[in-house]
Amino acid sequence: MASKKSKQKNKRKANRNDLAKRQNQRLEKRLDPAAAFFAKSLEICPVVGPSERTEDAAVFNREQRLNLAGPLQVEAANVIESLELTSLGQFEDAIAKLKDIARSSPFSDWRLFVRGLHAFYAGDVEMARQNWSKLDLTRRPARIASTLLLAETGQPLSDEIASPQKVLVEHVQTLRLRKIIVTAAEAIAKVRHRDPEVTFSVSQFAMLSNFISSFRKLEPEFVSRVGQACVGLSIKQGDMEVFDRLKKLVPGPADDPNWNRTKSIYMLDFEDSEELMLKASLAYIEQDLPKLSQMPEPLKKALSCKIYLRAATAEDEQLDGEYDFGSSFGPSKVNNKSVNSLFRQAIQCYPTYRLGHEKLIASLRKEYEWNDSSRSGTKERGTRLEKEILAAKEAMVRALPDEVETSLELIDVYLDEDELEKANALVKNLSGQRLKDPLAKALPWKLKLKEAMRLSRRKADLALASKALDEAELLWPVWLNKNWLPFLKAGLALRCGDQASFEKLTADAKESQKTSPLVGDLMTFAALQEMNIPGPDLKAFRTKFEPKLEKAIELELSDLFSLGAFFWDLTRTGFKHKAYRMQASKAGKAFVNKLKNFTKEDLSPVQIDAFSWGAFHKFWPSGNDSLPSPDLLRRARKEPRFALAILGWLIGLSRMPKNRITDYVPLMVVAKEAARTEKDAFYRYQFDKVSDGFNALFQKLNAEEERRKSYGSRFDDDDDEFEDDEFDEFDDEDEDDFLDEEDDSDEELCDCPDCQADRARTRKVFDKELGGQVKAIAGVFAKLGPSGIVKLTRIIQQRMSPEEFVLAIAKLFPNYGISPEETLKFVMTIQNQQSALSEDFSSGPDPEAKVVEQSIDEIKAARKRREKELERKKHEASRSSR
Amino acid sequence: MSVTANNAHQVLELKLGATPEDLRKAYLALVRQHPPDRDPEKFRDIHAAYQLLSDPLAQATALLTPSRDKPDLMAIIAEAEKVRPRLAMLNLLALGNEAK
Repeated sequence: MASKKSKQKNKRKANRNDLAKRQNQRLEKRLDPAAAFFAKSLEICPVVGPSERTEDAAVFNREQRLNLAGPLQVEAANVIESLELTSLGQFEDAIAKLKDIARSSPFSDWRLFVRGLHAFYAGDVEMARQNWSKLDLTRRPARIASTLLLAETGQPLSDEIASPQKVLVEHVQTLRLRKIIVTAAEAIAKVRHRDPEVTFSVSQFAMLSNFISSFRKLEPEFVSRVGQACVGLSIKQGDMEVFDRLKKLVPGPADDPNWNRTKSIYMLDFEDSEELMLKASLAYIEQDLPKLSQMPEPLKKALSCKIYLRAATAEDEQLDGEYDFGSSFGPSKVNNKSVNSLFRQAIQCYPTYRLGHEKLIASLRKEYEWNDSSRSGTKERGTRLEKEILAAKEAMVRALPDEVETSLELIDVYLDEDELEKANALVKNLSGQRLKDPLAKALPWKLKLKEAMRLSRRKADLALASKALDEAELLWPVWLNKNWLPFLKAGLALRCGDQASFEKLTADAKESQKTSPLVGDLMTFAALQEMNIPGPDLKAFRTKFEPKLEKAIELELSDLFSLGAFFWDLTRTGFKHKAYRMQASKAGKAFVNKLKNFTKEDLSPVQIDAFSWGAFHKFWPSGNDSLPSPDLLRRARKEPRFALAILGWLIGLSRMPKNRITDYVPLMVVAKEAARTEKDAFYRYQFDKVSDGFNALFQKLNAEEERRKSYGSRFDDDDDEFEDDEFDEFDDEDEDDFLDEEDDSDEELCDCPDCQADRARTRKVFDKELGGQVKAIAGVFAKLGPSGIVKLTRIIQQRMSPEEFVLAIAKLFPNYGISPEETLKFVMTIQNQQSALSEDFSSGPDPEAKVVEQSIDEIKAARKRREKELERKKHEASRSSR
Repeated sequence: MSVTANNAHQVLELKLGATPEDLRKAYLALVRQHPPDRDPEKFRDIHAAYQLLSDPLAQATALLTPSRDKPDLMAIIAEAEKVRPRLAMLNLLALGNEAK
């Protein structure tokens, strides 16, 4: 493949060189007229006339200028500079040069003339004439003005001025500076390329080089815009050589004078170019930005922050790639220091940029998880990383006091560490905000519960602990199961020395929970530990469950489900119980392992909780092959909380396979819909949050994919082929089910490989057409409004249930570039019309609906005809070849 | 006209180093000239440019986002053609040569 590519590249290069020669020849011809104009313009020079005043001759003749008195020489020089600036289009500066010329000065006529000239160049001939009408008709400014007016309007300034030479009038009409420059620029723009991939050729480079050297001083702004546009064109063709040559020739725009920022963006689209990208990025931050005195400081900081972030992310992804590739052997995330250092630099540049903090925390977490699961991980490193994560979170909350989620995490840590002052400070800060997160609203409950646990340390405070626990009970969140509360009460009773109450309360709690004995024992132990029962007394309780958890793989799946459900409650409320910390990982792995044989269709709330716990902690492996099976996905579509667990897990993955993300859009639709109907405040908030998170991930991956595709044909043809195949596979499975369930022809089709391949090709063509149809339908729906949607939906519903229809739309639309929001909006509109739909159903056939139905049938019929036609042609061709 | 980081200053008729105060002044002046009820399209551009320039992070994002469109050289040329051509200084001065 590589040699094929390199041959193609060489061929393209040779073609370009041939083309360049021919274009150069044509260019010379094209530039000839401009050169001729210039030659002619050299002949048209000011000449001192016999009656010329010295002041006027001094404007173009050095000797005459030297004859003037000192102050007048200065004024003459100012007039010359003003005229030069005018010829460059810098009118304001030109006027400023003349401000010191007094009315009584012999150069005041020149001041009037320049004013009129600016009006003339601005197209206001009348204003120009007004200014010039005050000029002394015997002097040069009046004669110039008269010639200009004669050329433009056919009327001189005054009949008293002798007619100018004909050649001068023609000169004004034809030889105008901008016209020549524009003609030369047009010559560059009009070069045609035979190779459609070429956007800026070598011959254009030669033309541009001439153009810049000829006109840079005359029309700096226009020349600069043309040059920069040419650099922009060269970027589009993925040819570094042309870009590198161009950036030496063309000065960059004011905010990127050395093209380093452009290069850093450009390099993003090249494979394995992280190093070059980083080099260009750092050059921009360290060398260019400090010199850009006109750029506002906040923008400089924002740019630096974003560039550091981008560099860190690119390096992080590269490390991830190495890690995935060689995780069993060598390269690993052992050294994430440089990545984290770039993230920290980004934060330092712009501390209030949320994403910088989030990325640093995510990177440290990833490293921590790697250290935790890897054989080469160490305890010291784990501790260091824990501290770094904590410091990063604290820095985030300091910079962004309204950051709720991280504040909540920090509060948990502080409460765990008994740093109540710090926790209270954050709680106080949060209390001033309008909070949507139910966890934030539940903070008073959590603080009270923690207070009860803390008070249970000292025997003297046990009465207060009991009171605090009662208060916590009153504050218990509606969305949280109270099943742990009786165990906590039992634990506190034992701490108070009331053995009988402890035994009774525990027995009652176990009885009322109807949970597995193992989980009952674990909950008892957890409560005793939280209520500060001394270690030696705990031992007996520990031995009831610990040996079983040590061999978690031997546990029944029902036990693991109950365990998972309890752990899920601890997880979602942020209680990192000690027993949980020790046993969760082992139990989680056993749980996921046992799920392989789990085939039950309907899930109980306990089972869904356990799934949520497994998903949250990423107990599922994150490799490509371990994504949730189609079977799990099907079940998740029926159960919003299960869909939520899977979406949450997907968002948490460090890398998501781009080609699979559309498979999960139906889950997002399910979650978003559930956010409207869910009664449980915790889940309602989570549905919204996670579906938005998934939508953001979808948009990000799509944007990346789109950018890659815009360069794809040039850089990675293989990937595109692969994707097409994948796309076909999807279309075969799903789209046919959606629109073509009656498509099975009675006629038997030939099964030879050639015919099969032909059919596949035809199908691909039609799939594209159908893709267009789906888009068109979506567009039509948008125009039809609710009643139109009802009509069309009714037709489709005759073929499938409403639920199937919604899921089919949710799965199909994103594949045709319709965004999740649009899909969702569409699905919701349909669902909102359910009642109207059923009413409309009973009102008999609708003529408009009939038309739509017919058009769907027509698509199908056309597809069938086309397939048969191709089949027939194929057979005819094979017969004739025989 | 789609407002980008490269043309936002142009839309608000500002130079690169404009201060936040200049930005606000230019925005208000242009909004007075092009109120949303009379010139909604122009107003949308002005507002988009103002929002972009008043948020450094948004501006940085826009500056670091590769443009999807190819630069239109012919459009730049067409724009230049609209401007009245100027004469080189010596040619201009020659127009005042005395008639022979």
